[in-house]
Amino acid sequence: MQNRSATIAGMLLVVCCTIFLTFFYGPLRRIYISPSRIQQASSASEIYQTWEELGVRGRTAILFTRHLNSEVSMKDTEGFKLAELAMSHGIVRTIFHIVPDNAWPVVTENLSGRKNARNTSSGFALIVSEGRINVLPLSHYKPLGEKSLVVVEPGVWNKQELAQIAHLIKSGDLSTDLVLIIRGSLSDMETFRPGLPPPR
Amino acid sequence: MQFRMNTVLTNWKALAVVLILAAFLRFWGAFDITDYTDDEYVQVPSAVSLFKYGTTTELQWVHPPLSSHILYGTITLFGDNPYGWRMGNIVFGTATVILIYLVGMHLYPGTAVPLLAASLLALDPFHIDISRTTFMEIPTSFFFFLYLYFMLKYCEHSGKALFFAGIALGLTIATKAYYIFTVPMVAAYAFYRARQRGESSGSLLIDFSFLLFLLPLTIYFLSFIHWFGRGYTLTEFVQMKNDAVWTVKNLTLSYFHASDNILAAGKPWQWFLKPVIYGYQTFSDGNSGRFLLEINNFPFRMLTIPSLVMASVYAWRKKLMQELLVPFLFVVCYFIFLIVNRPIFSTNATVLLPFAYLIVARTVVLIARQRKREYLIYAGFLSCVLAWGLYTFPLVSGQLVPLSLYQPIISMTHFMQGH
Repeated sequence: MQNRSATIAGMLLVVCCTIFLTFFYGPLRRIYISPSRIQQASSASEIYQTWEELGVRGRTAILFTRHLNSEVSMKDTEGFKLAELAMSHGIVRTIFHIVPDNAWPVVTENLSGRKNARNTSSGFALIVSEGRINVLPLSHYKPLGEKSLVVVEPGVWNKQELAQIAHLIKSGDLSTDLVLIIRGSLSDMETFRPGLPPPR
Repeated sequence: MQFRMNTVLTNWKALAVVLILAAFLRFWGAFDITDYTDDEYVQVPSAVSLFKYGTTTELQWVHPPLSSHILYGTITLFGDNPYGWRMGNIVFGTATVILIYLVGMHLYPGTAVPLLAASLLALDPFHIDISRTTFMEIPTSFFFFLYLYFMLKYCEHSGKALFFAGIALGLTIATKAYYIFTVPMVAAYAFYRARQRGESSGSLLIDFSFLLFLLPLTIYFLSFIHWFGRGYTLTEFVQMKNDAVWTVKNLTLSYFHASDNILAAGKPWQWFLKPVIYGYQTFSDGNSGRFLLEINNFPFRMLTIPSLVMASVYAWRKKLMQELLVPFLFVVCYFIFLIVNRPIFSTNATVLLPFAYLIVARTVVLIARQRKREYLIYAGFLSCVLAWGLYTFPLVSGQLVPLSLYQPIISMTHFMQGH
């Protein structure tokens, strides 16, 4: 091989580009909002609209709800596929759908029959063309180190679980720049507001 | 006479004639169908979505995205119309004919093998059909044969060939994973040949590591730039690939929209053993009709397995290492389709065809050499290839044909509903 040193130098440059692409390019392309905020939403379509208007991109979403997609609010927006739409449009890249522990047996039964539901150590991963939707009970949830978009549906959780979720957000274990409360009250807004100490 | 025929069989003018024919059969009428055909209804929207949002649609995400880049490139150049959808495969399909010729020149120099193999591919109704739509098997096999060509050049003398082989290899693995086992076989063969040439193992290992591992890997990752642009990291990339393997392993017939096609096309072990014709009749007035058929070129494909045995035994007995390469690559590549436990589309056979036709061509040459009128056999064989290719072309390209003339083929066809 002629000019071996030039080849090696060129290849090392190529390797550096690859490392940049695979480790840093993705995180650099994510768009966060500042300062962090909390607000209410009444439906899945409103959640999508809020994310879109705020211009967030490439994010992880944590949904503390009972149902996914059109069923997030369990009323309107029939057929609105929040997860798939947000992922296919690059707003969200991965979703963690956290459900109450008492609903887990039903969720397990529903998902076991689905061809795209893959068993994971903490629950299921729904493998869709747009990305990955991880479905797991609250007791198996461990927060990521990454700032996430959070959606909470207070009505489906008991007091203990609500306190646990509030603690995750307020303590900063679950880092977030946007919390959306589905069908919640003003007091729920204060309960889940990031940065304030958890209620006693 | 013999000298003149020898010149004809191995010179560039013969290749030019075959190439013009290949291009004509792939171009002519390819844009007449203005609706999506075959997988275009998945691949075109998926390519557009990749560039718009960074996500592909349907099952496209399980494959590397380079074919979507190519497709989007031609759509950008020619518009979101049949020209933009099909131009890429038409060009790559035609260019593969050149590559099979060049590879044949390296492996079987001074013989009629390159011309016979290139003619078989150029006039193959199956390859013509696949080249006139968006199937990613066409660019994949083109890139692999480009890699093989440069590796064979490198076997003869070092230089820049290995660098170009590395680029071609990167493009191959960034398109589809068909050649995952054949790629290292070719590298091992080139390593062996370079050692024979006197290169030291140490320097070869450095060259191969950089140019046949890191460079292709970089191209592979670069092809995912839109995917990484959605915020992903390497850890998530590994998870996505793991999910892709899981998804592909768990595919069942009911998943596919075109499951009827899979059933009609038969199992992979049948690809080279029996005639398979299926497709659609798009028009009929009782006397004439238009068809879009997939014809597995059975008169010549069925020669593959006997030829494989004959060519391999010959090469083994004569200790011709380079002549064992193509049969070996064919077996390794085909083996994956034979053992995989999931529904497989017959279009996958496209990636095996260049190997198959090199093997068939080699066997024809071996047989012809044992006869007195060697060149008469070549002329006869080429005439049969030409006649069959021209006869079947209207059936794979939607041309109006008299039904009486095509009754033998039509009677063997499994017709699909709903085109």
